[in-house]
Amino acid sequence: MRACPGEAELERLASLDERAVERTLARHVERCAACRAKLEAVRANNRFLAHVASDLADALGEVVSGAAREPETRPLPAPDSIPGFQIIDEIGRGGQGVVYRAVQIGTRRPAAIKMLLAGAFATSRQLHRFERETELAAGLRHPNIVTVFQSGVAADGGRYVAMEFVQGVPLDQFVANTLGLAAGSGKARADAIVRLVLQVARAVGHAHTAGVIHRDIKPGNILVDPKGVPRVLDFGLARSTNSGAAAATQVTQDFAGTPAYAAPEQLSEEHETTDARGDVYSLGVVLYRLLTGAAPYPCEGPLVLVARHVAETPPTPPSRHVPRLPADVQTIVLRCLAKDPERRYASASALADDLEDYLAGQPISARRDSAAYVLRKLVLRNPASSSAAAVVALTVLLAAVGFALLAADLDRSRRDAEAALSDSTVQRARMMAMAGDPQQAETLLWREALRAGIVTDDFALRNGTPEQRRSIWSLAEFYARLPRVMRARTEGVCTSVGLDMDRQELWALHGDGSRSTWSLDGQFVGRTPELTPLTPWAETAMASPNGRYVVLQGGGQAQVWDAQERIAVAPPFPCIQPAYYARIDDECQVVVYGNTPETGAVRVTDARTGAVLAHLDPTISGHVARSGTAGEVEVLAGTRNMPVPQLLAGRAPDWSFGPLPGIGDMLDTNVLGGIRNLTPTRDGGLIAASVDCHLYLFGRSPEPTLVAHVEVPTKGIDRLAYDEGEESIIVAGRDGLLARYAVPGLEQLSLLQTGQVPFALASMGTPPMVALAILGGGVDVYMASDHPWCTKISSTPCTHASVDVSTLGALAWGDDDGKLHIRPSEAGDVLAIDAHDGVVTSVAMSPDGSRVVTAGFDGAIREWGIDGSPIRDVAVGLTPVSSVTYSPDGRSIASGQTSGTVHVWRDGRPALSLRTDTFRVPMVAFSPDGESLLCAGVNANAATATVFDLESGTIRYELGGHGIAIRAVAWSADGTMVATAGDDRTVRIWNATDGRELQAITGLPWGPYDIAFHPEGTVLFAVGPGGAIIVADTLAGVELAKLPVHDRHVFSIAIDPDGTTLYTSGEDPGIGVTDLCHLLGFIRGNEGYWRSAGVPADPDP
Amino acid sequence: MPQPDPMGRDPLGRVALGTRTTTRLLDDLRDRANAPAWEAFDARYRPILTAFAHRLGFAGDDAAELAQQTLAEFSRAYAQGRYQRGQGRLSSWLIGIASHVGSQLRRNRARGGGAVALDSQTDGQPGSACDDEHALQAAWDRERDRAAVAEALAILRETSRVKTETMRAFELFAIRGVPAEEVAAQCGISVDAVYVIKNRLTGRLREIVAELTIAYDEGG
Repeated sequence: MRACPGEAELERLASLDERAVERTLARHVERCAACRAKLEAVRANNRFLAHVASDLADALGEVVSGAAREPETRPLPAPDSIPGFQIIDEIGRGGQGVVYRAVQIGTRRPAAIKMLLAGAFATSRQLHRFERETELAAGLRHPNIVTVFQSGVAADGGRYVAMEFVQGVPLDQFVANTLGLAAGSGKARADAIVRLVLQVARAVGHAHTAGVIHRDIKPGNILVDPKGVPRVLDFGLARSTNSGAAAATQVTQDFAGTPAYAAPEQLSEEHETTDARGDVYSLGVVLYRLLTGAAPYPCEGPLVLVARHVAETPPTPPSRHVPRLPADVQTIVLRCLAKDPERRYASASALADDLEDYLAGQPISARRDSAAYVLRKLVLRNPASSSAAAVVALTVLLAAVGFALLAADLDRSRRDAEAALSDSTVQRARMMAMAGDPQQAETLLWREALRAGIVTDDFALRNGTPEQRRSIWSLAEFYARLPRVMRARTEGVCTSVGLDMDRQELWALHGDGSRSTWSLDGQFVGRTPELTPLTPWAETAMASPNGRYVVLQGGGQAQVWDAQERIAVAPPFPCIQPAYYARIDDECQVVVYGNTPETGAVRVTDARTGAVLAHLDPTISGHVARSGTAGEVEVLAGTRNMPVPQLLAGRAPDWSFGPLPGIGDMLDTNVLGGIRNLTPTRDGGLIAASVDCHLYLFGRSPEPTLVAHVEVPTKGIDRLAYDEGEESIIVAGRDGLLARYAVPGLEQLSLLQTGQVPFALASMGTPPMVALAILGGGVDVYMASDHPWCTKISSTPCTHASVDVSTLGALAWGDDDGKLHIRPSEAGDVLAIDAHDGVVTSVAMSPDGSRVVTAGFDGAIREWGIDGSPIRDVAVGLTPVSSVTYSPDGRSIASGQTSGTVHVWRDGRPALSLRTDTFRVPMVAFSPDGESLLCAGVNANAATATVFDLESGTIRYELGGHGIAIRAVAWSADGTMVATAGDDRTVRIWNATDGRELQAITGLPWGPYDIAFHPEGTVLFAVGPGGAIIVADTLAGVELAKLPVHDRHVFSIAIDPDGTTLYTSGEDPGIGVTDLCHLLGFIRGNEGYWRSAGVPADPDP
Repeated sequence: MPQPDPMGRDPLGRVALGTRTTTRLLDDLRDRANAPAWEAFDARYRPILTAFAHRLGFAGDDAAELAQQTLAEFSRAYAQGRYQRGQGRLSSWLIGIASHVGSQLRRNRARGGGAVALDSQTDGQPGSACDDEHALQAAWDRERDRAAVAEALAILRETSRVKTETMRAFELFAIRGVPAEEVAAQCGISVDAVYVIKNRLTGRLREIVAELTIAYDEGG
């Protein structure tokens, strides 16, 4: 008999089928009781491990290998139940499921249907992600992307994806078939491969732009069709099904599949953070392998080994395999394969750009900053113009500084990549905010802001970084749409909140009766000690509207506390169960409480003694409110539709309740649910009531009347409150809607989507500030007003072409009815003066604020005192005047005419008449030193802006590049920069000294009508057809934010000298006054919350 | 020698549950002022109830709400003596409450009482499983197992007097699936030792999981 087997042998035996055990060994084990027991124990252990593998992996927070997990044995869903498709046959099977060939019944076009394994989704989050991403992928239309037709759930419950059927071969096979093996190949072969990968990179870049990351780029997912066009497959699949533990289940000890193309971060614990740069890495591996026929590092063997190579082993330079490989191609490949994502291309599009530049013989960005590199490229491309001597001299010089440049080069590349990534994140967040996902958008914006070290001192941030300016302006844009004053963190849900406008504080009541307080700028003030809770879980804790009295309920008992004195008003008394809500009046007379609307009952209790005053029948449901203050207390109760909703009222001393007659008949009986919310005004004269999403306002004079009714665009009204002056009603919907309606007509005043489910609501101040306790914990305070940071100065109901502000805050604007409007001071009345026949095209204020000059289409230029008195006609009988302005010393006036002529008057007398090479001069601007005049120009083709030297009357320089009309120009306050804005939707920033272009802010949604520098010069504001103010960074040359101000065209913008207020005019019948300090206040009020939360993770990496 | 923590906490400050030395939790809950016991009860069952709610199709705040209401209802019922251990397992009692709360929540929402956050795994039918006793029990068992395994692994780490390298070898081989040879090389032990460690610690883990499963179901 052979000896007992060792542990390893036993282990092997345990894993084998009984019949496969070697005969000798089997005989031994059969006879040896110890071995038999041991073998059984090993098998039991293995079964146990297989059974709990996923739980253990979850517990460990790491992936689990196939070795410890039972193989997926669930049958694949039947392929015969895809709506709209007819399954033909099976094409193949893989880790994700089975692929069938099919025909789309309606179009008869061939299709491929991928049925996913039932276990493809470890969690509902993965499934949700899958659904969302396949939905996004279905929207991708690109010649190099295999189109997804639809996805969904088959009749048997399995998930499927139906896509375009492509008859093709995998990319690596296509290259091997058509271009041969890598060895000995040179530039021609490399270029052919680059052309293929370029198309793939463009496709992947297109998907990235649409928010879809592939996460499994490999040759097998790139089919080349018979025409030689590469097509990328399976967008939206890999990310959902391959993340986390699910990914590892595909990985066996001998895999040589996907992980060989995975980026280091995909195989690390941070795989959730993989973004577009993961795809860039995979594209780099694809390119590497196609070019060289080899892997960049060893990638066979166990996962841990491969992961280590991927994470740590530098890729072998491709030229080791292919010595004649062009250096630029090697550079591009190695940049893709950088271990640190931040050192890679920020997106597949950036990679495609470099591949394209390489093919075109242009410098590639991966090396663009290297002086030696650029020089070499230039020499190669222009050999005739480069003298050999110059090349030699420069080469010697460059060799001396080569290492320094290289170091700087690498650092710059890293910074560029970081900036590009951060920028793309911010842009994504801005789009999310527009698309109605404010919560994720806000998280991303604050993440980038905190990373950038946001400074909330001001909006100019002259000494700040571009990232800091971008952060603060993107947040300004966010809070301009969602005017949240502050956000406070709380532990758990607060059931009662309040605002103290005298102290500018917010308070929230916790379940233990303690109260936290914050200042309205977001600073935590303190928390009072807890009141004695009645149960381990306080069911409700409600405060009186003035916050003084608190009702705690739990365990079938309730108790009233004087929170100010911190004493119990009365001993605990029994209350109905389950306790759902409670109301106590400010005078602590009665407590009204009840349970859920479904099982509802309402009880009225004497707050001082606990004596039951009234108990309304349990069939009654609905919410309860209280009215009356001075001694007379009234309780209102609503019922459900049985058969019609009733509104009951009861009063002291007898507390007999009766229905208010006729209420049920006034309600829309088609709406189910009964009266859920009731809120009377302080005198009880008006009662707001909600039924589902319908808001009613009833009067009592004395018989009930329906005053107004409105259907609120929400899934259901959860909370109601009047504003402080009872001039409007605040409505909080269970879907996060926060709306305000005027009393008594219920006209809609504002509508916000907060994305938060409200639990408690309080309102105070004018315009109303609304505090919302959030179901998930925390308290938010909003301004219940559209664009509270922007007020409107009412004016005539016509177009206002121009507005200007003086250093002292005086304001002037003109309308198209010939009137000049002057507001001499912020508190002063607005004067209206008949100034011109027809449209007032331009208005300017003298720097000292004492005079106003106007111009009109009537060809006149007139000067006025600040009190509206006429000073002089500067000129009459001119061609229509487009623009007029004062010089910095206030003594000169310049105008731009439709004829292309520019006139200058000095002390009221003609001084200069200048001709530009344009049809019209829509705008003129003096330089801050008064020595130059900048003129915009409209021309048929090559429009230019002209800078005149006023002393000589000659042209200093002309600014072009826009191609077509330049409608707006501006000087920076320090006179160092000039800006021009053209119909090419571009703003260009120029060096004012020599007319050299510094930056171009491209891709604006429209060509601006007017622009203005911030006094610090770091940002510029543009207005135009879109109704919004666009904010751009003049130093970085990027758009920062859009602030919605007007509904229609905006023609003019002016900024006050301290840079805090913007004035805009246009087609709206009012002048917009944008208070940037107000916007900054929103950012500061929310800053504390996010700083205390730390840098949040990307909610959707 | 360290004194036993009167609150039943382990050296890391966690409440040690499920081991035979722990006083039966349900006995402690008779004292409503025994905050640590209630805290422990909450810590043990809230995650399971929340996950259970997910299995019933509730998501986000609704799942949290279901867990909260179930715990609150249990607290009330227990205080009123409505739960008698001899009448059934604690887990059955909790499943019953959670199922009832889930149905209430579903009805409440269906009648317009608030938006329900749907868990997409149930295809938008929250609480659809509330009436299926077997499905409820299976869902509970699944979540209980998950919680028990997680806690067992933590207990194994804390209570097994093994070297760090030994535990590492176990995790590498038994959980991460790294080949025995590779584990042996990484941890500086023989391949046989890897198997010995796996079987020894797996055996212990099975015992703890078995104890915890009873504790979770019985409240012990």
